[in-house]
Amino acid sequence: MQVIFFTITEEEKMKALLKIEFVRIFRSKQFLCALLIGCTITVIQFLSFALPCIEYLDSFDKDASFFVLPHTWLEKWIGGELVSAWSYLYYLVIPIIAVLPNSMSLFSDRKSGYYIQIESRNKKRLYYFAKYISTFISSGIAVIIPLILNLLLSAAVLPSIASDPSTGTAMIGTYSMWSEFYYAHPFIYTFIYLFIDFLFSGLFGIFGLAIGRYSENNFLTFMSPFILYFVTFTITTSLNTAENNITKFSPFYYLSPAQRGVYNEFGVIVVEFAALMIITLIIYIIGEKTDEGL
Amino acid sequence: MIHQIRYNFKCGVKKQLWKLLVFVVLLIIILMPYISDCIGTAGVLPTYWDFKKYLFNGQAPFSSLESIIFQIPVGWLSLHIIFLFFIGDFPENDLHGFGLICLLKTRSRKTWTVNKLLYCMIQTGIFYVAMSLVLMIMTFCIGSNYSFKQCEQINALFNIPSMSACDDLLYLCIIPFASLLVIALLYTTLMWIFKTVISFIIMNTILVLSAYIYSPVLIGNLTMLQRSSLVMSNSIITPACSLLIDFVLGSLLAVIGVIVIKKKDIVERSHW
Repeated sequence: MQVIFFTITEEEKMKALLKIEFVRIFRSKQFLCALLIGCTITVIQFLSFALPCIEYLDSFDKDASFFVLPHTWLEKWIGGELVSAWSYLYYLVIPIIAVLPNSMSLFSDRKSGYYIQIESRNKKRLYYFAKYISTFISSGIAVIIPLILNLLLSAAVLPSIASDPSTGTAMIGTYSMWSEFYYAHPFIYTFIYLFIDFLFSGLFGIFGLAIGRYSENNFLTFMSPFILYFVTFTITTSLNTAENNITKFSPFYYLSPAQRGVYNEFGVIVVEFAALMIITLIIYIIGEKTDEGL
Repeated sequence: MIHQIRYNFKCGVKKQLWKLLVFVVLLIIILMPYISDCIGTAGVLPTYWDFKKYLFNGQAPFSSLESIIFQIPVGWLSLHIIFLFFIGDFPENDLHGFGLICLLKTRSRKTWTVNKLLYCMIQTGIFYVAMSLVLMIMTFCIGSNYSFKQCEQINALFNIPSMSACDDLLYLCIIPFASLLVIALLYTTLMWIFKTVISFIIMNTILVLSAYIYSPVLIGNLTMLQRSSLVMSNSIITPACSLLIDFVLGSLLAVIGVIVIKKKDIVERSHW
């Protein structure tokens, strides 16, 4: 009888773990729940804010001089407006939606005994790395899909015309970050902003994951990114003046493509993202090193 | 019953007192610019009651037709969100720990539910007292006073008419406390029906919608001075209406809570 030994490389193990993690996430109730919450908010925004604008399009068709420009989806989708409560709400609860898909799984894996099973077959480092990657991507997807759904719904019923700065209907002012780019290439601007939202949502997800390693309570895990987000929002809003413009440091003010903060700076966004990423990574690595699987 | 109350106090209240620290720090940060605003714009120091006016001032009804950017007063929103955070997940979490043992031993789900509703009331009381204490200390630190005396400049800053001592007590003490209590009960009942995460999101939705839509049914409206009959002459949110809504809603939520727990499958639990 011939015995064949298979040698599985770390890379293959990693791929297998990632695959398992993604399958678990995308079939989980939590991911569906995150999507459901996000889609509910964005669909209500569409029904209550973007859809009613259709009736004015008829007036535009009949009498072109009546409006300077008809309503465009770029100004009416959830990321393009700052007037409705739904836009405010969505960008307020982003950290919670981001945490839902997988951030609390370290705790549940431990409780269910799944972690012990994985650890006995693989290196702990691989499991943690797979968790990190899958959480980052799933959190980003959970936040982005409702936004894209809203964008597609709005684009389906409203014309796709670039905003004109002279009309003053767009939320992006002339002093806003990338304002020239927005008026010249609104679609590219929108998709770049969606990518920024994806990155920050992923960051919130992994921040919750890193805190979840130390927490014995899921409430703290899901609240931790929200606390960080909300405390930054409260402090910057309270201490903001016309001179210091510190709202530019709060993600709440720059995550919406319509830019709730007037004086946002791309450099601040990059530095803040990088700093939070490094801090999260350090917390996570320490968590991994000190984890004895108990 | 007494054992459970003692347990609630030991595990629910005492262990969560650290959350007050977050609240106190944030409250101070929120109030600092307000003090400088009062000194800079009105030229006077805010009194204890002026601080309360600021926190529960809220905003006038929002009109989306004017296409202005929708914003919520940060002091009002923070106060409510931190309050939810302060209530925490103890009423739900306990159901799968010590609470489960209590339920099995006492065989009375009603007692356990009433205990948790009492916990909500105690937490609301502690939160309110802590807020009042911070405001008192801040008043003392800036050298202001606690009198009901009106400062017209600060009232003008808020767009508030003159308030008597009775108005101060009614609009800034009794109504906000009763409304916060109902918010706590609503959050707890939702927690028992859904998950903690979902109930937290629902509560956030209610708060944001309260600022957006002027309606007494949206409970956040009741804690806004700007939407009360004191400021808006044609407002339906009179003190009697506010207290009646709080009482009816509070009672209804208590009954719903008892029914939900009675029907709930307490053995099944997911880890989120």
